[in-house]
Amino acid sequence: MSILGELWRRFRFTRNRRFDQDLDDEMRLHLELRADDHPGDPIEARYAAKRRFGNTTQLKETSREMWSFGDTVGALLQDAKYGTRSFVNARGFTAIAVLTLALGIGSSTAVFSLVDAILLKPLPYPDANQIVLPLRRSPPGVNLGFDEFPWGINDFRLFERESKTFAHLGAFKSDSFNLTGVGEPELIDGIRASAGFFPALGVGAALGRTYTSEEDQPGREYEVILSDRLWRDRFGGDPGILGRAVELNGYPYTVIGVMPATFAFPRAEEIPGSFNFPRQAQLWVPAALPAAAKPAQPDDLAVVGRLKPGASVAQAQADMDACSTALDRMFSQAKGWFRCRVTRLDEQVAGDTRRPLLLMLMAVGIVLLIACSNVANLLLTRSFARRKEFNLRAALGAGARGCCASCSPKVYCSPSRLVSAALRSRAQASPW
Amino acid sequence: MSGRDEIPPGTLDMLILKTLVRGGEMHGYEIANSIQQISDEILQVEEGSLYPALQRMLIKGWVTAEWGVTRGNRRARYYQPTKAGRKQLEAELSQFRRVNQAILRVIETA
Repeated sequence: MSILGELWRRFRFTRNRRFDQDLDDEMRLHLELRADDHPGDPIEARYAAKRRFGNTTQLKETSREMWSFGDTVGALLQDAKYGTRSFVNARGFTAIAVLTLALGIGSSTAVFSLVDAILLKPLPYPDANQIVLPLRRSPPGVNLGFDEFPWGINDFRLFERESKTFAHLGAFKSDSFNLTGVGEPELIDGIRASAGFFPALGVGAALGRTYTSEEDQPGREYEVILSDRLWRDRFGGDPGILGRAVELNGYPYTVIGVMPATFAFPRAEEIPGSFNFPRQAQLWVPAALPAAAKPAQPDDLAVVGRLKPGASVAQAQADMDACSTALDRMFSQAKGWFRCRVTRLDEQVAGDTRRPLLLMLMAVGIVLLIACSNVANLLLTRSFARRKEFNLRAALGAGARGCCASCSPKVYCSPSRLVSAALRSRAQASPW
Repeated sequence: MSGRDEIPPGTLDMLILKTLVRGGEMHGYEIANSIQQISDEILQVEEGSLYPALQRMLIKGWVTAEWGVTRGNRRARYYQPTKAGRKQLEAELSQFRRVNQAILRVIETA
């Protein structure tokens, strides 16, 4: 309340043009009364009164600055005006300076937003550094044109049985689904995922639930989890969607859950390019993998796992190597085709881009620095052209600091204030 | 100049407020004179410094000012303490007393 009152008084003061006059009158009266009370010679009395009073000009200045709310705003406005004027007067200079800075700032912002998105922003999974992708590698000396390829059902079953370092393992593959019965039929990219998939990522449904391993069985798999986007786009964000049947590829699937908006695993950047996954998955249904498949029957499975607490990637790698050896023994004709490389999900996302991105960030940082130094150079050159002006300022009493600072339009705030203060006090101190 | 002492820093507001509360409406010259007379001419206000102080108190809302006419028929600005000003005076007085007593206790303890 008192601050508001103070602001109000200060605000009213800024509209009071009689301030100087009033203060003058008041002080003059004081001096006259004091002189009247002084015995003896009237001239001597005036001097005595002045001596007792102190420096009138300085006192007025102090009083005025007391109300400095008006002064600060006024000075700022004045500086802004002065800065704008000097920019308008030097259009070429301004254009070059603005362009240089724009290039520097623009490029560094662009690259930084890339770095931010890829390297700095955490993945939308809890403890994302525990999530790994055991990727199948091609045998040494075999060049398929790509490095990673999918696992089969039997491989995954063996991992589930034999591996010791994973808290959860989930297999998944892409599929597309004909969504019918809700408006226009639409082909929707989805994922068939085993029950370990969601726990491995550590993400639960935002609405409803994810499926259990009992539901992830052949014949029982007619349950679907929708992405937030699909839920909003096709079902109007209906909270009563749970339990409703939707028709996918002609089969009725029961909606049991809706994932959070941040969840769309696997996004394109989260999985090697050699897998054929959609850019953004829209729904998830149980993979319902059979307990055993024909030996070495190919099935386009990718695997995601969550390490047990305390387990390292190296331990997981050793664990998987043991599984590979077991598979080599089981399918001796395909010996060498079960090698595995365990990659952390966040490293998979950053991939090979980490180093080039950081290099690029450094490069644009240097470009920004160069742009800044170029503009500084321009300003310096310009200040030489303004020598006469500075001489005048100095002659009028502007301090060295004020002169230096006014070289740069960006630091106008302090200099022109100093200069104007200097000019004002000169004007007030001199009688003419 | 002997026998006159500058007022301790930070007490000017208090002195002005006290003077105004005691004497009612006053203009600057009267305030200066009042302080000096009541203190038996010991306290010397650098008279000019009253005016910035009065401005500051106007900003704080501790005093209000109105133009009037002196007995000698001259135009003068008369100051009057506000409610906030009286409250401020109370606060400053109690703080001053507390500090003063503490200082006295320190310097008078043998």
